[in-house]
Amino acid sequence: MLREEYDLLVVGGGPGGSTAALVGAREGLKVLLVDKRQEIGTPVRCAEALGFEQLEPYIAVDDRWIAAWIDAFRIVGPSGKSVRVPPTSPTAVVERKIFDRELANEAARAGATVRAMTRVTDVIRQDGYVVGAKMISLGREMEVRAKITIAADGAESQIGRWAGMKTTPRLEEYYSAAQYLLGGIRLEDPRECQYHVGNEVAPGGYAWVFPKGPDKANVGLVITLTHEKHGRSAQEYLNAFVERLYPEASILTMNLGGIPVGGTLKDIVGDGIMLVGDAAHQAEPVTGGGINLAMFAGDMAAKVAATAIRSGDWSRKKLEAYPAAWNKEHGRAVGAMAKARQIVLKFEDKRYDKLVDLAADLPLDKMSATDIILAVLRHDPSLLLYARGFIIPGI
Amino acid sequence: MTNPSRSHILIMVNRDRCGICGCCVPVCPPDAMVLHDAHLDIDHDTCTECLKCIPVCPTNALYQVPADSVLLRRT
Ligand SMILES: Cc1cc2nc3c(=O)[nH]c(=O)nc-3n(C[C@H](O)[C@H](O)[C@H](O)COP(=O)(O)OP(=O)(O)OC[C@H]3O[C@@H](n4cnc5c(N)ncnc54)[C@H](O)[C@@H]3O)c2cc1C
Ligand code: SF4
Ligand code: SF4
Repeated sequence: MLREEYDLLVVGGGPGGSTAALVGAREGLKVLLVDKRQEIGTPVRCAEALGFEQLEPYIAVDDRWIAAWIDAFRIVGPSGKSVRVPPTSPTAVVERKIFDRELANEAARAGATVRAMTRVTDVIRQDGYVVGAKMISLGREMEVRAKITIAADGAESQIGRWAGMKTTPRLEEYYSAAQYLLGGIRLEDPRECQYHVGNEVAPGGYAWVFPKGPDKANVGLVITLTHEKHGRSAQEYLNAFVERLYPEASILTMNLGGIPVGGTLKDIVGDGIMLVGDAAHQAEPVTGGGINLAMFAGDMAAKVAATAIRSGDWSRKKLEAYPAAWNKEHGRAVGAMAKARQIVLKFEDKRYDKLVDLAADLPLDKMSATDIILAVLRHDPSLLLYARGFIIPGI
Repeated sequence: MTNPSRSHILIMVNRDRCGICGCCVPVCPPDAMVLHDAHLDIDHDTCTECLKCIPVCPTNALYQVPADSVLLRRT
């Protein structure tokens, strides 16, 4: 059996893990980044819309992974009424296949060791601490010892659970997603991302059309299904949506996945371990967008790891600096959106249309998606009925 | 691997439908789903028959069958 030792082991070469490895290496740590995939970035499980605010420290914009720049978002209500919303930061639909691989390469360039096709099969625990992990690397068994392990293993996350943390999402707080990359279509505006809401389109979720050029688009949806509501699957809803909008389309790729959208987990650190990105339920709960947030979390976790290792103490108590930083910067907003999501989830179609009407009257060019949703909730007093029992800041 | 003394139903995976997305793995409370590179397995000894996994699957690849029907088919 192969045995190796590092300061920091990062599991998962998605945006969260690669950023953690990159920042950890820059901080001078000896870092190993592993991913079970044969090729980092594939298969894609994402609609690939990315806002570029605050990404410069990690990766420079590169045409190779820009599929389409976006001028506007359009929210389409059940009746077909719609509202156009300008983005608050430069936004593009990217090629995550290339983006994820290049971000992993940034980590490698900063000095981290990166290994694809390396699947973690269990964590190693000693005296209550996570002290590394067992893995199968390119077909060989390997045991890696590390002072700190960062689990950035995505929505399918197992590492946190193996470390004894509570990570199981509730069904009401989990998006089930299906998406096609459609080809041979004609987009009216190839620089506009569309969000379609309504109970027929996507119960407890929404459908999207994100262009990747004039004749190609990621077309997909998320739904929330519970035992009671279980009927058609995400893919069946998607087939109906595609049949209605693009009956002539060809299916170039199919992607499936899940997104935990209940807001950040209560415990995202333990002795010698930190959870980052979808593994920590850090995606924005209404849209399910999590690329940037995973990267910001990866940055914060790696910096806390470096400080902890330098101080010789990486107990849970010491690592609590990471959730503290996260909650201050993003966690509270993510939590508010998780609550907003529970309200929006229960809308009847009439109410979605009203939401579109209300949004049309707002100064949209100055507002982020979070601002808009909170403002709409605030502007319609009847919506407060839905908000009873929830604490949304500012209502 | 089945546990006939306890199982009333078995959760099965339709492999023609399963896209190996792993979406069902984290929602399973007892961690009974095992995602391999090319397929998903369910450890029926660990499964508590809670049925949480069934609605989250984006392709409806998970379904339940009476346990005895499967035992009969296997022998
Ligand atoms: C259909 C869909 C559409 C989405 N659209 C958008 C969007 O348009 N914009 C947006 O911002 N977000 C979107 N998201 C969310 C976004 O994809 C995630 O939030 C983001 O990828 C989270 O990054 P991450 O680094 O936490 O995890 P991931 O990107 O999921 O990376 C986790 C990595 O860990 C690896 N891994 C898992 N287990 C192991 C193991 N045991 N050993 C080794 N490696 C392991 C996996 O192979 C994977 O590469 C979408 C999600 C879905 C499902
Ligand atoms: S959620 Fe469905 S498609 Fe995804 S791994 Fe599970 S059974 Fe397969
Ligand atoms: S029925 Fe429950 S315990 Fe069994 S595999 Fe599905 S989620 Fe897991």
